[in-house]
Amino acid sequence: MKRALVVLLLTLSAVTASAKTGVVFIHGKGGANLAQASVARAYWGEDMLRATTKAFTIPYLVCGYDGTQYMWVAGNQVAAQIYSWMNANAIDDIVVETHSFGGVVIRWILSNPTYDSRYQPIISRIRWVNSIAPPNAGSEAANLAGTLSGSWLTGWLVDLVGQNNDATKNCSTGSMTYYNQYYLKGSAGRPALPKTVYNIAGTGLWNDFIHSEDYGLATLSGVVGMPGEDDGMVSQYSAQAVGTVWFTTLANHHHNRRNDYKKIGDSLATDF
Amino acid sequence: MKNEVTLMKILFALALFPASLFAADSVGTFAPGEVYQPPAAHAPANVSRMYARTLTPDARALELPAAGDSSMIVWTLRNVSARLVTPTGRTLEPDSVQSPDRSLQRFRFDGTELGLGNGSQQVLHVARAEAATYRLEAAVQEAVTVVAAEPESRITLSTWAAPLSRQPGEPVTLHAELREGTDAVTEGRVTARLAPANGKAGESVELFDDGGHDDGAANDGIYAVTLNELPQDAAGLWQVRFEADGRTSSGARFARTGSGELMAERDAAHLDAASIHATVSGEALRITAAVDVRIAGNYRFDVIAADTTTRAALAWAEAPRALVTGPSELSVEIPLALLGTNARSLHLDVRLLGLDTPGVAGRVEREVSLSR
Repeated sequence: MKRALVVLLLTLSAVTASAKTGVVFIHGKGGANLAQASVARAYWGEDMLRATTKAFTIPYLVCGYDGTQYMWVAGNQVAAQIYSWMNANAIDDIVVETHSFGGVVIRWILSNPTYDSRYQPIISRIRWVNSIAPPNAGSEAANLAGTLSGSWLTGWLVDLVGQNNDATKNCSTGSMTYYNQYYLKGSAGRPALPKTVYNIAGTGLWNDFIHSEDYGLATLSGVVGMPGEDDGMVSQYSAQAVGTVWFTTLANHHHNRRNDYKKIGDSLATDF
Repeated sequence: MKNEVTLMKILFALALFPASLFAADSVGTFAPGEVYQPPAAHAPANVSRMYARTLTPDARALELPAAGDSSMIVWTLRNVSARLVTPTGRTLEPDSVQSPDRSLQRFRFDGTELGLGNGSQQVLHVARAEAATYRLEAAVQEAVTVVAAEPESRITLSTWAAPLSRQPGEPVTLHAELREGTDAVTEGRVTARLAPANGKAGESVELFDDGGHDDGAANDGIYAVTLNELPQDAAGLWQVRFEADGRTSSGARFARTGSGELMAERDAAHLDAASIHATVSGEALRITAAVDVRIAGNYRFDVIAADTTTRAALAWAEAPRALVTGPSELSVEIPLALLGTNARSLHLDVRLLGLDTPGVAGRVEREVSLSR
């Protein structure tokens, strides 16, 4: 309710002050090819972009970055795109939508305004961030990638070599504990973030038996033994470790970046 | 000559460091009710009910012990033609999706989405595992990782490594706790290997539950060992893989694989604890510290101020600095107005953080009195 009132007030003030609103999408970790615009766009799916932007009537930017890199590398790649886009289009009211590791990347930018000269101008124009399933306290699934990496074997190269990349290491519970206490803001005992983050935690696993990803996520959840509820990749406690709870969704980690099983894009569109 | 060297250092700094790092220092207050928390000594314990094995062309079968108090997931991280043989001799043949009574089932999924390897993967599900050893048979052309998990099992391995931020020369403690419910598992065997960020793991080391290895009391289910050095002189994130096995109270064999992490800090700079001073200067608290920089680059001088008595977090300051090698004096100011009117003494957490390569170059906690 409080959030709805803020939206209403901002909408009214935007009209009077002629603010130009835009939406920025920041995807999660994955392959290096997520730096390509088409791959980053496919990550979200057209219906998620359409729904969130009210049939593409709100100016938007789908950021792409190398999904294998640490948050500071990703942060600079993302900042370069946002900075150019907001200046070229005179966008001065930005709502940021993130999924998974994208929520950590935007926290890096928000937490370290002097790290790059483009960060502060971007921060100044951000209205708020909607963060879907962010591993704010890390992901036990990322821990597993380290446990199963090829580092441990001497005689054989196994099929996980290469998956234990910097982005995955960034998302482990150990790394996020470390970064939360030294470099990232917004968690308990740390300075507040300069802009509000609304989190959306996933709490469901079995969404669609047609998709094999659901089997994979359920397997991962069972193997890893995530504490409490989770979406197969990120636990609820971790997603909610930073920011204000907006809502939770039964959509699992595969579906909660899309507008299919649960209409999350429709919810995001209520900001405009 | 000395002036020339100094001038060269200044020019070097100006030439190399981006303008953003000459940005103004940042200060702020904490949200009301926020309590100062020192950095954790270690990450939260990783709690495991699974273990990992590897199928190789040389050894085409794996023995998979089960504690017998849970279902069991056998995940082959590749879609191999695998046969599962139960302790009583029942089998799930490679071409079978499930057993007649559905107590054994086979699923396949694409691992790409999970970021745990590309292509089709396979899960064998045992509805109720027996307290005995299963056998997985598969002819593989290359090594395949196999994970066996007992999601509802009372047998847990909780692990961590400390310190989470490890300065050069600091000893490293590896910690593991074996439990069957709340009871200690005392007849287990726990080992660990450490691997640097982009390297191979070192030799296996044993953890002890004898009361003599930073493991608490003897036979309390807590196993530990302290290493004076890391296996290699490599900075960055180190991962630890723990392996445990033993028997349950009913005599069933079990196995568990756990993990832990620590950050081996670079020997980038030395923050002199004795040099840290806080003085009131006009309407601000000025905090100074001496630092000996070994690796030139961009750093941030951070200060967190809390109430000494209540530990209420009051204010923070962040000062980006481009530092050249050698001794430097750092300073930052926090306006007194941000510290509140009642503060008489402060608890300061002073940090020097790397920015070119993120890492903790130094951290010191200090109590200071605030005379105005």
